[in-house]
Amino acid sequence: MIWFGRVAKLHYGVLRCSLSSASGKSSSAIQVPYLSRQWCRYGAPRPVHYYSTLPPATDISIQYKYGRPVLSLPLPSRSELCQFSLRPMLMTVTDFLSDIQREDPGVAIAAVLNTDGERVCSSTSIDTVLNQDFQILINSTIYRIHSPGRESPEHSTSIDDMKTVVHMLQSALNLPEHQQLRQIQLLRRLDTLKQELGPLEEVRAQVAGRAESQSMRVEWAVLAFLSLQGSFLGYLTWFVFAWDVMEPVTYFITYATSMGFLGYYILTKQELLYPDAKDRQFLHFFHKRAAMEHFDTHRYNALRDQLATVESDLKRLRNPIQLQLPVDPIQPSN
Amino acid sequence: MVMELLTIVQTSFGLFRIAVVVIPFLYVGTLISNNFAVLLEEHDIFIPEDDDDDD
Repeated sequence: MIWFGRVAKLHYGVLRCSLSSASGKSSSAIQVPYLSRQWCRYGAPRPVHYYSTLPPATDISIQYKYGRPVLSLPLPSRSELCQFSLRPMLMTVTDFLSDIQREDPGVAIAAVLNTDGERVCSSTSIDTVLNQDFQILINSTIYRIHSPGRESPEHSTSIDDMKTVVHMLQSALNLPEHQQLRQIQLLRRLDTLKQELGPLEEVRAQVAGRAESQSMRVEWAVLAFLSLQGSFLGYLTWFVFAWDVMEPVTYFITYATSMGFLGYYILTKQELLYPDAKDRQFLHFFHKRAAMEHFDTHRYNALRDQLATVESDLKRLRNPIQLQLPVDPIQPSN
Repeated sequence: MVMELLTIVQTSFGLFRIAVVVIPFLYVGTLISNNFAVLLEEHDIFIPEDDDDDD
């Protein structure tokens, strides 16, 4: 029996040689070391595939046609390829194997194995089997089936794709008109805001001018005080007392000044820097005078903020309308 | 605010105005200190000759 099997396999090896030369199909085979070399009966000597017990597996790829996976299996009886269309959701392994056996009655043993050589249960759905590569055993020939997995090379339109296309159509058809309308809206709003702000700006300018002059007067006053203090101490040092007497006085005046700086920081949460201190004085005088002139600072600030937003929106719209570029994102205002 | 930093702010007659403020106040300071020393001497709070102990 074994002798017969060997002869049969030899015949198969010969047949495979001629087949491969005839069809020119590329099918790789595993070379397993064997005891002796055999020459092919037909044609020039060519490398023969060695095998020990089972013929080597052949690689077959599953392709997708019209959205369905298609598998071309060589059937043993007439050594011809047969194309099986698989229905992954509906078919199980049993259905598939019975299809193969119905197609070719010469198939005695048919089984689906996974890549480790383990047999896959008959009730498994083809969908699960197709997730990875597997093997099919037909009459002691193992075929390695390469499955592309979940993503099919065919592009299948899904609902998300349709949504994207609809979105793109909508924006292409409606966006320029929408942007123009928006620009007109913004310009109108800009006009209203500027109109409202007009009288407020006048009052503000007046109040700001008075507050500025007041804060500058404070600056000059500080300069005057410093020069007064300097001449006071200088006169006492050179003309009245000696430096030995005056030195501690000057030291403690300096110390008191540094305490004053710390006190300023504690009270105002600001370091005593000349520009910041001047701004602080300016605001102080501004708010005092604004209260006197009944100038609504909150309303003015709100209107100015809205004006800034409208102007930035208009600026963002300039590029899309004139150059057909996409809209810039909103920048944080600093 | 950026434009304010890029231009030089120049006060017209700057140095003159500073001199106009500083020099009178310097003079006023000397006057005050003189009166202050006279006051101290009058009320015997601090007299400079008494303090010249070290030679």
